[in-house]
Amino acid sequence: MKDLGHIRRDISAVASKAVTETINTLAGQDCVGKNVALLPVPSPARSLSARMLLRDPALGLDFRFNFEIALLHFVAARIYPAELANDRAVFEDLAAEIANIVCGKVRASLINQGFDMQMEFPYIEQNDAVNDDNFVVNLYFTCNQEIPALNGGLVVNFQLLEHGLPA
Amino acid sequence: MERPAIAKLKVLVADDHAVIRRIVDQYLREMGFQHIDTVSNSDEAERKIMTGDYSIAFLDWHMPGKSGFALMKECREDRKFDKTAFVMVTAESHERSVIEALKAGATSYITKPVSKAVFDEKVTKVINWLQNSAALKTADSA
Repeated sequence: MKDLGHIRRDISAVASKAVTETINTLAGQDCVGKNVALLPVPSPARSLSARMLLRDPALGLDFRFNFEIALLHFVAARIYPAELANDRAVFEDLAAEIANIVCGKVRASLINQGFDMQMEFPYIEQNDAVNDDNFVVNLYFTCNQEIPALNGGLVVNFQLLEHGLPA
Repeated sequence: MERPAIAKLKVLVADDHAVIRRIVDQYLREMGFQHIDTVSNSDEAERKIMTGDYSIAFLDWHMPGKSGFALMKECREDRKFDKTAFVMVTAESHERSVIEALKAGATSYITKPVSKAVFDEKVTKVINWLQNSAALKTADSA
């Protein structure tokens, strides 16, 4: 088995590619790109967080997708008519599905490495601990399109637990 | 298959996420489908599919409750679904899952997120499968 550092780097690469591919395909245009620099973390009032857990007896993965609402609105407006595209339920569904798709790719990659990852269902959480020290890997994504009121875009962070996640 | 014939086919779309139901519904309508039912959970999907009215069922693999995969497997054990095309929709592109789905009787497999071009290509193949299975059925009964 690879060491945790390697696994963490692999997961970062797979998740980064999956985030941009997923959001850009859903939006039907090139709207999100990976950013190497730190971005401002959206304030809880302007953001929404989707959480996802993956489990293997030997490895646990806890993902958090912190979306700026302006970005979710931008993507939703490309899928839904205007009267539906600014709805909190639509944002939550979209955020959870992006988390689901991205983690599905991560899971497939870990299965290729010999893990038997089980994936739970995504859920929306109150966004009050985005820079929690436990979430050791932070991936930042910026938006390539002009979106009014957008500060950052999306921050994906995850932690890797060597002995699995607590039940 | 001509557009008027496509318009007559009944399609079921089952996914717990509204955004995927919306996108699949939109793509199908752009291809000429008109009779599309969408459901958000496997119980509802099972109830609808058991009527046997659908030509194509798009099932999300990973749904709360019974998975789309389990539902498809059950249906494939019943001869009344011999001419129904099952398309598994999933975020995973793992080869093992694709093989598992096809072995269990899935007609096709769509990996999310799906672009319109890839969706059209996959659904065109599914339509060809439906035509072939109808032709085989006619030949069998002749």
